[in-house]
Amino acid sequence: MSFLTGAFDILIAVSIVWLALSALTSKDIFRAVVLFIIFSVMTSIAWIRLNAPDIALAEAAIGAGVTGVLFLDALGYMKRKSRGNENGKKINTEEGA
Amino acid sequence: MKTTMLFSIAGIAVFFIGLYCLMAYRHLLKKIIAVNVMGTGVFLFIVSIAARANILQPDPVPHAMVLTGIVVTVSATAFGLALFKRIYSETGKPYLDNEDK
Amino acid sequence: MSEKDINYHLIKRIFLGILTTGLFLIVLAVIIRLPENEGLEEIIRGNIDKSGVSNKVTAVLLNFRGYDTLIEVGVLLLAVAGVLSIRTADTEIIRYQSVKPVDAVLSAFSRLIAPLIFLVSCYLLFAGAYAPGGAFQAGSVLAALFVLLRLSDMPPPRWINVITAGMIASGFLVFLAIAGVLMATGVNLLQYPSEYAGSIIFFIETAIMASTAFIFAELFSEWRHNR
Repeated sequence: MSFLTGAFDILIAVSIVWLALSALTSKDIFRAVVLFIIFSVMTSIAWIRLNAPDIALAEAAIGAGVTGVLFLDALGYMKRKSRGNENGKKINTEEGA
Repeated sequence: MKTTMLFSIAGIAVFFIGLYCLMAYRHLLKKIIAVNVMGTGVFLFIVSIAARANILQPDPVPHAMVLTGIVVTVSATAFGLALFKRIYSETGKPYLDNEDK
Repeated sequence: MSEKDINYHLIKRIFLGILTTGLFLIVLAVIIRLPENEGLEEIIRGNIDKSGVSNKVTAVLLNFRGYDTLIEVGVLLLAVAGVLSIRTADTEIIRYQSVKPVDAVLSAFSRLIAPLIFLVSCYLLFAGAYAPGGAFQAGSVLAALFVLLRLSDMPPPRWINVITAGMIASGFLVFLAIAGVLMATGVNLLQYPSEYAGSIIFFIETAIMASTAFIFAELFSEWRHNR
């Protein structure tokens, strides 16, 4: 039993370090953001292994739910703006605002 | 004791990976991700220190500090991303202007 | 992109890599020799009855170190003020607010799941007193609900313009008002009277939860009713 939990801890720790490395050295930014979200979820599991359930709840909600969405929104903004500049017209279709 | 030492080393390793990538890469989004990764590494180290004496009853004061730290990190990330969007809308490049090339 | 640029970047990266690896090894050598330490767990377990809640982390966060939480809510308010002042009309490409939402499956599913998310966040708020949970966890789940509604093209309700600014500021103001009232009665900063400590903590937590949810949703994107 303790061998399995030790192996699980080693697996979580190694995958956290590996995910940080591959998220930051990837060439595609979308891939980097997605790997960062996965890194946050693995860190949330690490908090549970360290007996910190409050932090695990907060990291799961904030790390993936708020920070991940903020990054994806910035990526989407980059793509929309570059598409708008190429076509020459504004993508900004609003209704009276 | 073994679990906490493992996560301490992992936290410090993640911190230094983030530090290297913050300085070495030019893309602003990657820099913001690197700052987040550095913060998460520090939190891993702090919480593993909190669990050193007794892992079944960890010290709750570092837990409260890390909770505060997570919220402050997300505020700083949101502000950094707003700055990034403004830079991108003004200059059209996701790099800062004073970099070479 | 000349030879000189590639050499410069390569040399820069090698130098930074050597520097960070050296620092990492130095810190590792210190960490392995850290002395044993008991921590504050015994002291907090002895004083937990005076704090009004039974979850140790909530007691530390809102009672023993309440001043840190006050400053934290202030930092959130500063961040949203900064983001609101950096935004322009160009960076907020407002999507088409149609009366009938664009994607049927997304809108139907989000309408189905929204009350459940709200229930989970209220449970986290109430359970913060005796189980893992608390104000910031509940606030971030509620913020995820707002972001989901925003992303599934739900048109903003009519009262959203009026209450957004008030709700963003309310967390910090409520906490500050309670701290001011307590200081006016003569005790130290944020020293709750023992018999009301639980209720005061719950009241502050509710204000923090609602305010944090609106702040995170505002950090994501603006959600205004069409004027």
